[in-house]
Amino acid sequence: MTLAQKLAGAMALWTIGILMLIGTADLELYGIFLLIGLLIARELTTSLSKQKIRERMDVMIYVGVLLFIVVVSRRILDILGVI
Amino acid sequence: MVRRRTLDISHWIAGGIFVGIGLYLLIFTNYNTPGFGSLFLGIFISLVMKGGLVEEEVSKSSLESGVESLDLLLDDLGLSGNGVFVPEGDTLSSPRTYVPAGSFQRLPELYDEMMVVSSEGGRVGISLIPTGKPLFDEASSRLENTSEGIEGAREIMGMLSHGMGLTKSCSIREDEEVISIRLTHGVYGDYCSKLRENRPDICVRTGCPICSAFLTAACSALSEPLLIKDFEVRQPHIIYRMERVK
Repeated sequence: MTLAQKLAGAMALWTIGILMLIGTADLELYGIFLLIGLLIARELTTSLSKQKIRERMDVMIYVGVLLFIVVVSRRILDILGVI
Repeated sequence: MVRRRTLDISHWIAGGIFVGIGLYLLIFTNYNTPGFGSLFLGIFISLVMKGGLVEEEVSKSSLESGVESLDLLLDDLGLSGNGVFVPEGDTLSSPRTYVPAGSFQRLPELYDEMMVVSSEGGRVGISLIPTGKPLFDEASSRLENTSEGIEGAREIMGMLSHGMGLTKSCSIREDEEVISIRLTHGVYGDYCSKLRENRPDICVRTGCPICSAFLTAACSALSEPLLIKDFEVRQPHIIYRMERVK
């Protein structure tokens, strides 16, 4: 089994595991957990993965961080009563 | 990577299925969270598992080509000594494998442009680019930064083993003057056995490309020449004991 296959398998387990744990109600929380999983996978495979794989994962992380900023901003605006 | 097909689109198919399911759940149902998860997984699989693949037999054959004839040539030239792996240095721009005629006495000065080396007492040896240098270079290029010494050796060897899948596992241990390198066979186990069967002396002379890559990694990280002291097969492991050359 190659590293990419192990990585995909681990992410599949994480995605399904988190879904079972938090249920289908909170999409924002689920998204944050997926981002955490992605960050962990990126960090743990830094010294083993190819540069191309790292770059592709980085792209996904950037998108995830952007979404995270949107989620946090929405929450803050919600607490302040703006929306 | 060792695979059965030249063009592998399985990652696109698997990723596409997950993306399709995700989009369906997001658009046509209220299962937004599983839909998002499926979409995420589909994109991840499509991006991460992408890569060119080569048939397993082709990969093994390409590793074999040239190595047997090189060993035969060394036999004919009477270069029967154990190999010394020399890191790059002031006079060498890349690592070398020095194979002496007879038992190893002393490491002569090696230069880039010299292949056949004559040292004191008319002893002749040959300075070759290690057969595993391309693999070592590939592993080095994949690492963002490496440490020096035994930790650096572990990092590069880890990349060769777990990152590139050349062996199932590997370990390096330093015991005073002796450095033990243990490699556990993975997918290339039968290639290694077959090569050793055909050319029994290859392991202590230049090593096959896989072993050579690990030994080059060890000498380069430790920044000192390492002589193959002995070699042992203890299935499924192979153990190299290397000695520091003064």
